[in-house]
Amino acid sequence: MDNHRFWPKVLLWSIPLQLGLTPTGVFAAEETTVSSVSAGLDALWVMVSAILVLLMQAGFVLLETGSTRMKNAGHIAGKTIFTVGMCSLVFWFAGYGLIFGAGGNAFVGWGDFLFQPQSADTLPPSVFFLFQLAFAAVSLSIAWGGFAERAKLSAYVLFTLLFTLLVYPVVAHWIWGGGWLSEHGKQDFAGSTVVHLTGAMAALAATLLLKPRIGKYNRDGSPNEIQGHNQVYTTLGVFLLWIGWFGFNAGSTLAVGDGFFGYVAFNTQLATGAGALVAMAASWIWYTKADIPNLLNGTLAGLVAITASCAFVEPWAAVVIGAIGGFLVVVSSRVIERMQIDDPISAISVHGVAGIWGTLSNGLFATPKLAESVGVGQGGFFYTGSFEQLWVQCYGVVSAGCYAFAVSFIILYLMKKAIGLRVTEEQEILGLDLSEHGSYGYPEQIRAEHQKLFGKEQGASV
Amino acid sequence: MTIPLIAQIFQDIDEAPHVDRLRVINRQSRGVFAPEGSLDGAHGLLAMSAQLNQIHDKIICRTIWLAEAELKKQGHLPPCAYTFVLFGSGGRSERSALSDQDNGIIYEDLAPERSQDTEQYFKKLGEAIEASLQAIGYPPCAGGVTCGQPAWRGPVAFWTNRLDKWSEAPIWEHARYMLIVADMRPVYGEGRLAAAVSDHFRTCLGGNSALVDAMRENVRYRKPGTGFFGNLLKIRYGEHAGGVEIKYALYIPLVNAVRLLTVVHGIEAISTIERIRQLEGAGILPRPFASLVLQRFAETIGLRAMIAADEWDRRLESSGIVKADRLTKRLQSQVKGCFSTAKKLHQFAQAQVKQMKQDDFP
Repeated sequence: MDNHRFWPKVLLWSIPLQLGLTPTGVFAAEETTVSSVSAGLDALWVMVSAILVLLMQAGFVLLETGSTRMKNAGHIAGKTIFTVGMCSLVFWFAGYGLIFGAGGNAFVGWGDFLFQPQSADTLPPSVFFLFQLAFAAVSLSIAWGGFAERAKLSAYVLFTLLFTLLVYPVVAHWIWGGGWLSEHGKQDFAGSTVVHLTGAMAALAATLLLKPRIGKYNRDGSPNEIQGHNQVYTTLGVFLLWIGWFGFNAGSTLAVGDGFFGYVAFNTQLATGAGALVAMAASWIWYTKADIPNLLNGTLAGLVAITASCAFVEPWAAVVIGAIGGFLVVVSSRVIERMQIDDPISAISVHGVAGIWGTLSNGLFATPKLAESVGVGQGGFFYTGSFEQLWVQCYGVVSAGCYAFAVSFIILYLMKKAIGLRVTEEQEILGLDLSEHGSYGYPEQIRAEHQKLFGKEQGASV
Repeated sequence: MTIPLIAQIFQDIDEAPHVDRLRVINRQSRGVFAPEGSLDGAHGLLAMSAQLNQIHDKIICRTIWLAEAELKKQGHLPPCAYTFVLFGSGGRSERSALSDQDNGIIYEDLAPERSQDTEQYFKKLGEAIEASLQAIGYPPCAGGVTCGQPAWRGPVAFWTNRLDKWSEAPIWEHARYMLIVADMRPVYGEGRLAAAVSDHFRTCLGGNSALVDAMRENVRYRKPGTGFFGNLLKIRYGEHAGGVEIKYALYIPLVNAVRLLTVVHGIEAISTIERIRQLEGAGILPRPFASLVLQRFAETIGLRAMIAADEWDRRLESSGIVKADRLTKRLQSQVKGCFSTAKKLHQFAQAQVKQMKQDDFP
């Protein structure tokens, strides 16, 4: 394994097995060898990548807070921190084991619960765990897009537990943990399907069950615009996500090796640029205004779309994939809104639609050479003239998407029946900062607003 | 509308004893002007609009008469001759059934010792008329161009001095005021006072290329009605979602372009239709294009009437947006045609006025 220039995620399932067979870790090595230095560098790169992927949570905080209203700002920002914290514990407790546990089957992994990292002479399991955990947390944060501005705090707590146990690990096991789709040849280098589509399907299930926010739709079904309170936050959020994505995609090589991670990062950057440009152009051309939310969503769509294909395609194809992702997000966010599905952060368009497109794009653009060198699947239609890889991608994306949606829907439906998902109307109008946490993220502004609405006395009492 | 019916409405207005009665007549007559869902027959649309504007004018005149009579009862007689003028769509005789009020008062220049009493009288009169018109169903214009405001009420010299001031320092705001005055039309009282102000307006404009440029800049931007591919831009959010903006994307750009050409060429007509005809007659607008503009403008008037017919019973001011369910395939194609002509006319007017040299001004 140490001669591999990188380790595709799809082969990751074998890592924990190997770790068990090689108890002598790099740090226990008595002498420095080329392979120990190489392993150390790999470990360092993956650790840096794990940190970068964790940094994406800061991006989500700013993206989600900026895209929503002031009265919910503290709640939306703060809940990301505690759900990442909780997700870490649940992932340690069982999530990781359900993906990579050696005693599992094609459906789910089993073992390694209360994960205890051993030392190893390859990638330290502790580093690998952190990297995987960061991915699970990203998927969870994507799901929150469907909850925004109306879900109870208790719904966040319970769903963090159940998503990290029942939804994410199963899909991740299927594709990355040695499950039935990993043998199938499905190309999903860094997780367009596993991370993004899974999160987006949970967001879709949540928003369908929660119903639209108060004031989003009129009686005749026409939508109202609920603008985010800070476009600069949203923009900074996107930029932090963009930077963190280098850990997400390039880090997924899991090795420094011959520098292939650079190629992956290079493709990532091109696709993102194309997504940004096309989304802005599309909204400019169609709506005659270069709309900032569309531009930002297009940037993220470029990132999401290239996530599956960054290691499999040539630079020109990365540009095309990102560009189409950027275009699709502008169209799909409009269609979803018209279907009366309230998607406050456009999670379903950005991570779902672009996630599907990104996964399918391998079936068209993957080059036979890169597919062979990564060791997963084969070249896409434009190189081979065969639809086989496209079919595999399609098959994988539908199975994973359906599972993530169905299980999330069932979980949330049962939660809705048992404890309720949504705050009361009064709480929603007053803001979740107050109802869920007892204080506003922007106390001065909200107080001023209340004074304007109700006069000084009532304003002061809020 | 049939002649007997409109004659009946006129008679009712003339005999209305108070503002409340005028409010009822206003409401009833608004409902009568409800066009079919088609824009065919430009002549009919214009005739309907002309009748409606006659009714509006009549109501306004009766309101002024009643306000004057009320002041008389309190012992206040008009100290001198005056004229009540309309601006905006009222001035151009293009109001739909839903209209706000943009108006002013011009009175005779008097000796300084009488000016204070005169001012007091017209303050009372202006405020009374504005309040009555509001009660009848004409909300004051958002820009504050009403006879209740001191800025739009004064003797002839006050108006001409202001025209001088605006034209000497043609900043954006002054250019806007000049464009407002360009649409001024006397509706009650001594029309010669308004004519004196309008004559002065044209004098101010003569050879003043800086002012012309400022006026051109003032109407340089228009709200787009169609996208890059000629797609109609639908309203995306709110109660009008799916509808199409007519006021700011079509009507105002057409009016602005025609007014700009008219003003720089010294044409005195006030209604947009008459302005287009005169621009055509003077060879400023080429004949086939002028006919097209005339046709499209009539259709735009029809669209405005449609909007008003949909909204007159539940709001005082028009949204300016044609409803989504009105937009049949045929209407959509007509609206697209209107947008295309408005765009061409706008570009034509901007380019032509931009190229004009100082000597070209009348």
